[in-house]
Amino acid sequence: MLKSLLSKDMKEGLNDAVQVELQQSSLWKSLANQMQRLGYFGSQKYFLAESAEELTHYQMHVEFMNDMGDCADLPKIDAVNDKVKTIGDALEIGYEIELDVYNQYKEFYEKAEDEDVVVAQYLLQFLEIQRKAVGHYGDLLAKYKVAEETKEILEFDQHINDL
Amino acid sequence: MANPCKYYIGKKEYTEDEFKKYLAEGGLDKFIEEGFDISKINIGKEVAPVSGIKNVISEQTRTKLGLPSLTIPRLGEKTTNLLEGKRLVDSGEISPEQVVDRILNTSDKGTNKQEAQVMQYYTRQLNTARTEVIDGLANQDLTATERLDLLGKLGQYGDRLDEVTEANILSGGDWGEVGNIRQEVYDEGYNPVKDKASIREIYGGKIPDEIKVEINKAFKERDEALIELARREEIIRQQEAQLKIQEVAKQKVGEKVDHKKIRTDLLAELKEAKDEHLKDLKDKGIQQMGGVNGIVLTPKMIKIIGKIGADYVKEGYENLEDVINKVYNDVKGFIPNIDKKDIRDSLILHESSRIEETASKLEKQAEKYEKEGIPTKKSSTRLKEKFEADNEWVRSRKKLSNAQSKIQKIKSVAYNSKKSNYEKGLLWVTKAFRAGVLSSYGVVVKLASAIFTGGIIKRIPEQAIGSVYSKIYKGIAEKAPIEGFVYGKSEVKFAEEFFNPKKLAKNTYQILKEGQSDLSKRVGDMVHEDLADITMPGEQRTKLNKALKAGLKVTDMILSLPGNSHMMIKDPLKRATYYASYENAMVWAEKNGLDINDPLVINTMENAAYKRANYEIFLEDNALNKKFKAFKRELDESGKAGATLKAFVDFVIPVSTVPTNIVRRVFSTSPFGLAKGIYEAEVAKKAIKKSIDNLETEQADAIMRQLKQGTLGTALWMLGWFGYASFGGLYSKFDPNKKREEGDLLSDEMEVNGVKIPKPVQHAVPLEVLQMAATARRIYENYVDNKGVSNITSLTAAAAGSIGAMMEQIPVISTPILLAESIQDPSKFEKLKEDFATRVEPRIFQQLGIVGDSEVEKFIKKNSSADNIYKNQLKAFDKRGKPKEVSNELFFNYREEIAKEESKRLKYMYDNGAVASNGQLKPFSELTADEKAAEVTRLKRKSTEKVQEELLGKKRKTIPEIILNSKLQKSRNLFEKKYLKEAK
Repeated sequence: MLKSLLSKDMKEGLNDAVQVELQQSSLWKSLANQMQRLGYFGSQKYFLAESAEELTHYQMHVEFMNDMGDCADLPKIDAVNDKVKTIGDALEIGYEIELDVYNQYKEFYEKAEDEDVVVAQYLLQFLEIQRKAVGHYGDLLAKYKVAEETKEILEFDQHINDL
Repeated sequence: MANPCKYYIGKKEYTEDEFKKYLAEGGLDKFIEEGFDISKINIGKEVAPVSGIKNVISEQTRTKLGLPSLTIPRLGEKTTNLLEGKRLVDSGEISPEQVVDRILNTSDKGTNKQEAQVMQYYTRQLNTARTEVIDGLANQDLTATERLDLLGKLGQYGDRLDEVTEANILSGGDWGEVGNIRQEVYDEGYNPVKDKASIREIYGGKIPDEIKVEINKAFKERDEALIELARREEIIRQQEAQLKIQEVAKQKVGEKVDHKKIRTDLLAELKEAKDEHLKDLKDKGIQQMGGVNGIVLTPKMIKIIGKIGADYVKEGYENLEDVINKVYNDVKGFIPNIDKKDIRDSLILHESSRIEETASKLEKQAEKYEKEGIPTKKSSTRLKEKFEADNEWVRSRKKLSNAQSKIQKIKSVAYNSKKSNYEKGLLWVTKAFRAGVLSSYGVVVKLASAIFTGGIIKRIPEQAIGSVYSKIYKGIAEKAPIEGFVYGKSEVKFAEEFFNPKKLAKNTYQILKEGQSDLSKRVGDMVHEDLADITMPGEQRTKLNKALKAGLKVTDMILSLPGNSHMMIKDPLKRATYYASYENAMVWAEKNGLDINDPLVINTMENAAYKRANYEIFLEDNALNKKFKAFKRELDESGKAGATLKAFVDFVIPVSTVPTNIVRRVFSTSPFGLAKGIYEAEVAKKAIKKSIDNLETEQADAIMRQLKQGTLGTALWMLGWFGYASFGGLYSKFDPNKKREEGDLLSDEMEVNGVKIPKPVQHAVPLEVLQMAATARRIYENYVDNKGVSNITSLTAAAAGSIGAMMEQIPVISTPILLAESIQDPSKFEKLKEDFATRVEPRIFQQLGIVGDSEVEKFIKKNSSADNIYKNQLKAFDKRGKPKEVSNELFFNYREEIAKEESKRLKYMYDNGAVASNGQLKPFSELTADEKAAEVTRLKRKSTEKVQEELLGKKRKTIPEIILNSKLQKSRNLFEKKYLKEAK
């Protein structure tokens, strides 16, 4: 059997990243369901797309680990209990989560930079993804606040996927 | 002027210069090095003559028994006062009559110490004179004129005593300094003149007629009892004398004897003995203690008088009166104050070898005890006179204490006489509320547990520990009458009294009937408040009033029942502790050269033992309680408004002494108590070594007690601290139940060998100590494990939390807090309202289900935890899951919602049952206690989760937290797997 090219720490970091993506995917699904229940179908679609996107990230990690002669562990995903009542609540949670993940990747990258440049090079794309994600959620929140003030929530919901 | 103080080292006397020289030459160091007891050094005060253990038999008894005289026993300051008083009167320096008149009739009420000493002596003289009149009245052969004359004198002495007592009270200061002891010490027959004076004062100088009738009745009863006592004593002595004559008559010999010559020789011998005695007294420079009686006959003199009497019998005189008259005529010439009774008593003692033998035996035992320090069975046995075994005498003695009790009651009625009908009504209301609270059988079980577990089980290790400390702190132990040493016989006495079913039955009946036992009546100072008498004082004349008063009496009796039942439960421990302490105190007294036949000594020891007994049943006074009582007294004395407020205070805090003392005891039975005990003991030990201590016996007792309690408490604390898994601890917001893991004990739970200890039983001090230690440990663990704070912070929280939990058990503290809280907090207000509502309905009725909550309501109330939620425990989060401040509104809202949610779920459980441990649904009534507890915990957790999420929001788990949790879980799984594998 081929020997893994990943050190113990790098493997652990990648497994954490796998968990993060799956956890996020699960969370977006939960928010999507709640949006549907509240009648915000645009937001429902948005979060479903988000969820699917996280799964592609997850798959990327799996592939990378395979390339490095290793195999990703499938973690236990925590139940999602966050309850939201508005699109704003959901976006706030989204922003917080993306920020967490951004920090998570940043930390991992710093570690990888010293230890394994291949992993570091691979992580660079995720740093960019997360930077954009945090920014995007920030924008969405700002726009939502405006919509809230102008009482255009439904319009916001309708166009959330275009923003 | 030279320093008049004498210096003593052991028994050796030094002048100031000699003592200085002794010190300069290093004598003191040498003394210490040689291991001599430094406490034997008396500096700067006149030495107390070490009369030693030989004084086990009093001077007077010794004289009667024909034993050689000893040095004047150490009787302390009281006797010094008395002797000084006598000197001042005899020398004409101060006239007591003038002092009394001045105090009563002028505005100058003050007395200096010398005048107070004179008053003390004067009172004693009057009392003695009065006692003599009573003795005189005991003579059955009195003519009607003689009897009337004596009765007149009795009244005169009584009035004069009233005046002196009133003057004593008015003069204040010195009364307290030197006078207080007089009533107890010199008034064996209880002379309630002081009470009479107080009663008169309360009524503003004029006692109402109906009360006067009652007082006169009580006084008459007392006088009759005293006369009866004296009469019985007389009869028995007379019989003894008669028997003695018969005994001596048998010794008559046939040969001719010159009786006249024999008697002339004996009389010469008697004169010589008297002169010798007077010279001896003069040499010693002391006043004769006979006081108003003149000189006391010495043993030698008694023996000679007995011989003269016996000689008359041998000559042929067989009539007692004749013999006495003959001897009286012979001796009265040179012993002017002798009376015929003295002659009769001398005759009784003539050749009474058996009594002398017993007395000598006792002395020998006592001497052995002094040398070896081991008490013999009889060493502290007081010699009893024959009449003390006489049934009628004992009955009269009881009548006397009943009369005393009646007079106390009249005083209580007098005190309350100024009360208006409204105020009297308040007294009834207060009593009814108090009865309602005390009627709880939970309280009864609590008490019984505190008495049995706390009293009996605790005593054994405590005494064992005490015997160790007696060796470590010998100097202090020697000064502690009750707690100093442990004697087997005292412990036997304790057990005998505690497990005496006869006395239990007798006292139970007596307490139920009269509100107090014989012991309390005789030694105690608690006056049974008779509401019927307070409401309708004195004897009622009309039939209707008589019937009304009888009705009030019955009501009062019923209302007194709960309180009396408590007294009944406490009685065995109180009685056992009293007698055991009394035994200890008497052994101590004789060890310290005190005369254990002296009424002063007996009375002092009785009082000390009674105080100790009260301490054991948590009835001692403490600073907090004293202030609380003083506050209530002040209210009571300030008219209607004050009385109303007092009634409200009584309603809110119906009991204060016992709970406060239980908590105090829990603190003293702990490592803090031990630290305090050791600190005080070390300070005292150093002082004793330097001979600068002024350690009072009471303080010495307190230190020794503290050491015992502290050591036992430390052991219990260790047990509670390390074995906290078996003890749920007290409720504390620092470690609330909801934070405990499933299966762990909740607060107020206790489990020993799988058996749950009921909550009321846990109120025994040793168990409370365990719970308190467990509380501290649990808080500590909670802080270290769950809050991740430092050890010091955790320990601080543990100390604060456990102390706080204990404080909540003191109504004097917790109720005012609840009152204050209820102003701001609606739920506390609800609690207070509910608490007050239950006061109106007697607990026993609530417990029997006659009034109050239904079963399901009780179940809900018992298990609802909403009241135990504190604001600082709550954490609220905004919608992004970030912490936010908990406002008061949110807090109260949250608590209200929790109460609603819990009550809803608990009611559902009560109505529909729950899933039992076997997975089946069982009705509520079929669930076991454990299943119920588990389900209640689950329901409460669910309620909290629900309301928490709805109102307080939820902390969002961050990604790093999610990852960390997942890793922790993974490690746990791995560990369990490994463990299981290894276990296989």
